[in-house]
Amino acid sequence: MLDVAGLSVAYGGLRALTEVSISVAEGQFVTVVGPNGAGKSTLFKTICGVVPAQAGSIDFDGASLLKRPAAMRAHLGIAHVPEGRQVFKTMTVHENLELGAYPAAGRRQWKHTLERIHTLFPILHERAQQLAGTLSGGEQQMLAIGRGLASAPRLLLLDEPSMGLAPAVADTIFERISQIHREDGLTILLVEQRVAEALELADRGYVLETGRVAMEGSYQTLMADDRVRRAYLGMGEA
Amino acid sequence: MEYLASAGMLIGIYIILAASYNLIIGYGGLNTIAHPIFFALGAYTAALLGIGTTLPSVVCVLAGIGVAVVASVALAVTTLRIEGDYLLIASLGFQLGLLQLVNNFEFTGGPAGLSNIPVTITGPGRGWLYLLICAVLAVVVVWLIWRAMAGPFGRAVRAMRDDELACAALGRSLFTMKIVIFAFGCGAAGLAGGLYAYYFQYISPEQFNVAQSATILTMVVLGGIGTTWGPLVGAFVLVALPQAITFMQLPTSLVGPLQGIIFTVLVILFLFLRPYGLVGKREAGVAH
Amino acid sequence: MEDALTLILAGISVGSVYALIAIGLNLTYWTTRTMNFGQGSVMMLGAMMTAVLVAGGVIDALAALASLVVIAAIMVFTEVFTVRPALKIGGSMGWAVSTLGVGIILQGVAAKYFGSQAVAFPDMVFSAQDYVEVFGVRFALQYLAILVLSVALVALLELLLRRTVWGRAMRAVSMDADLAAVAGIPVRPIVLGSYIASGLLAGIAGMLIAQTGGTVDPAFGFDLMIFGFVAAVLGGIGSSSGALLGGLVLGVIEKLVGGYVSTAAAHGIAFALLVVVLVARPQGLFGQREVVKV
Repeated sequence: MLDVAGLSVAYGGLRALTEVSISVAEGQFVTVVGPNGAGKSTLFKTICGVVPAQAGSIDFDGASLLKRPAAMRAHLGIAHVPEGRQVFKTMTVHENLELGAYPAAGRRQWKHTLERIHTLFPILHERAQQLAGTLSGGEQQMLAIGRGLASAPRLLLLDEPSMGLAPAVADTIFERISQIHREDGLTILLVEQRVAEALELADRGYVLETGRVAMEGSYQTLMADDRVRRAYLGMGEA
Repeated sequence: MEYLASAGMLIGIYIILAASYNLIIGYGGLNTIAHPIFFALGAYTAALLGIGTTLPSVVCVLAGIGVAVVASVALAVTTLRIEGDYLLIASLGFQLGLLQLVNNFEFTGGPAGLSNIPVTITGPGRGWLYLLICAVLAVVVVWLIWRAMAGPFGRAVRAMRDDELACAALGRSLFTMKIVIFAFGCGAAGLAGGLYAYYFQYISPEQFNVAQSATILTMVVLGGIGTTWGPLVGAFVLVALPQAITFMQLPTSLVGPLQGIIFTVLVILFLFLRPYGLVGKREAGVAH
Repeated sequence: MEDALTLILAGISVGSVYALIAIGLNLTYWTTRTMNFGQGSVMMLGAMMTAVLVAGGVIDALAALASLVVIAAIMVFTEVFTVRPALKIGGSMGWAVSTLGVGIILQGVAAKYFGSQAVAFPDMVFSAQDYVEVFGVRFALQYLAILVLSVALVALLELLLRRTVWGRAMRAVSMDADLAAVAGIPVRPIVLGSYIASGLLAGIAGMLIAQTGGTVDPAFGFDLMIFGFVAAVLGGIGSSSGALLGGLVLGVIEKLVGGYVSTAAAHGIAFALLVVVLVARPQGLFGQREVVKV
C-alpha cells in the first residue's frame, strides 16, 4: 500500500534521511524504531508532505505521492498523528474531531467513526465540549489519534504516541492502537522510541539509525538480533 | 561637491539604519516594522535639546540614543511576552501612535517639523567633516554587529532564531537576548537620527512614516537579510536610485507612484529570483 | 445632552465601520501573520469606483457589487504575487513592502484615472438629512443604517467562523497551519479566502465611510486603515468581538473628543490611547492572549 524507495531528505541544511526504503502492505502493522535524531519524524513529515523529498519515491496505492500537496494526501486516506500531542488547543474536543473529519471519506462516515472514537476513548465523549488545551497529556494524545481516525483513513501514521507520557498512560495508548489494528483492520505505521512495546505490537519492524535503515524484519527476527537487544532493549547476549 | 557630501551622509545614515534593522529582523528574527520611530526619537530628542538647551551636540545625540533605547526596551518588554509575533503589531501601532502625537504636539513643531536646529560645525569643510564622522560611526556600528554576530553571542542568537526550544534548553535566557538585540538595534537607529537632525537641520514627521519603514526594509531584503554586507549594498542602491530618478526630471505627479512601483517591483522580483538578496547565499539567509 | 447622544451614536456608527476594517486586518493576520498594508487603497478604490460608476449612470447596488468584484481580484493578485512568495522565506517581512507597494500603485492608478480631486459619493439608502426623532433626540438614519449593516456583517462573519466547516478550517489554519494541512485542510485556498474576505470588508467599510463623509479622494483610505488597525489592537487581534468593541470605543472617543475639544485632537487622543494600551496592556483592552512564559 505504501512504498518508500531510496528516499533522501535534507532538512535545515543537514542530511536527515539517506536512501530509506520502507514498505507497508494493506492491513499490516509496521513499526519504525531507532534512537533520537535517527530521522523517524522526518520520514513521517516527508510521507505526509510537510517536508519535501530530495530524491527517491513515495508511492501510495501505486501512485506517486511526491507531487501531491500535504492536504491532498490526507484526502487520499493517509492520516498523520504528529509527535508532541498536537491538537488545536483553543477549540473544543468535538471541534478537533470534526476538523479531523475534513476529508470526504471522514465526512461520509462521520457518525460511525465518531461513535467508534468514543468507544475507544470514552474520555473524549465526556469532555466533548471542553477546550482541547485543558486536557491532560494523555487525553490530548488520545484526541490527536481520534482526530486521525476521524478522517476514516486507510493508513494511520503515528509519530511517537508515547512521548512524554507516564508509563501507565502510554500502555493504555498502545493497547488502543493495537485494538484499532485488530478490530478495524486498519493499516498502521508507527514510529516509536519505546522499542520493545512497539515491536511487540507490529507485524514487521525497521530500525532506523542516523537516517538509514539499519535493519528490517519480523518481530522475531529483530528481537533475536543481538544488536537490537543490546542497543534498544538493554539486554546482553542471551 | 556639497551635493556629494550630502548624498554620502544619506548613505551613511541609511547604512546604520539598515545594518541595525538587519540585526533585529535578520539575525534576531524579531519582526518589527517600526525602525523609523526610533530613528525619529533620536532625531527629535537631539534636535529639541539642541534648540532648547546649550548642551554640547554630542550629549544631545547621546540623549537621543538613550531615549530610543528606553522606548525600545519598554515596547519589547511588554510585547515579547505575548505569543504570536505580537511585536509586529505593537511596533506598527507604536510608530503610528507616536508619529501622530509628534504631529499634534506644539513643541515638536507639528506636521511642519523642526527647522531651527542649531549649526554645530561651520566653514567650508562642514559637509566633509560630517561625512567623516558619519562614516566612522557607520563603520563602528557595522563592525560591532559583525563582531557580536561572529562570536558566541551570535551563535546563541542564531540558535535562538532557528529553534527557540532547543536554545532555551541550553540555558540561555531568550528574553534577555531578544531585549538586548532590540535595544542595540534601536539605539543605533537613534544615533542615525541624531546625525540626521544635526546635518540636515530639518526634521518632520513624514520622514519617519510607514513609507520609511518600507524603504529600510527594502534595503535589507534587497541586500540580503541576515548577512553582514547585504544592508550596506541595499542602502547604497536605494539611496542612489531615487537620486537617479530625480535626475530624470519626471513630473512630480509621477515620482510618488513611481518610487512605490520601483520598490514593489524590486522586492517582488527579488523574492522570486534572489530570495536571499544580492549578497546572501542560501545558507546565510534566514532559516525557516 | 442631546449633543452628547448624537455624538455617541455617530461614534458607535463610525466605530462599527472601524471594526469591519479591523476584522479585515485580523483575518489575514490570523491565517498568515501578515496584513495588507495596501488596505487603505482597497477602501479608497471600493468607494471611488462606486462613486464614479454611479456618476456614470450605473445603479447603486450594481456599482457597489462591481467594485467589490474588482477588489476581490486585487486581493487575489496581492496574495498570490506579493504575500505568498514573501512568506516562502521565513522572517523576511518582504510582504510588508510588497503589499504597501501595491497600495501605492493602486492610489497612483486611481489618481490617474479618476483624478486626484475628491469625488462626491452618492446617497445610497438615506441622505445625510434623514433622521428619526426618539424622545426629542435626533438620530441620523444614515448612521443607524451603517451601524445595522456593520453589526450584521460582524455577526454573520462570526457565525461563519464558528459554525461552518470553512470557518472551523480557517480557525485551524490560524492556530497551526502545518497541523491543519496534515488534517487535510486546504491551507492555500483558505489563506486566499482570508485575503479576499479581508478586502471585501475593507471595500464595504470604504463605501460606508464615504457615505458619511460625502466625498472620496485617492488619499482617502490610509487614515482609515490606521483607525481600523488601532481598533484591532485595542480589541486584542484575537477575536471579532474584540475588534467590534475596540472599534466602538475608538469611534465614540473620536467623536466625543472631536465634538467637545477639537477634530484635530480627536486623532491625537485616539493614538495616545493606542500607545498607552500597547505599553500597559499589549494584549489589548479586551484580548486574552496566551502569555509566553519566559
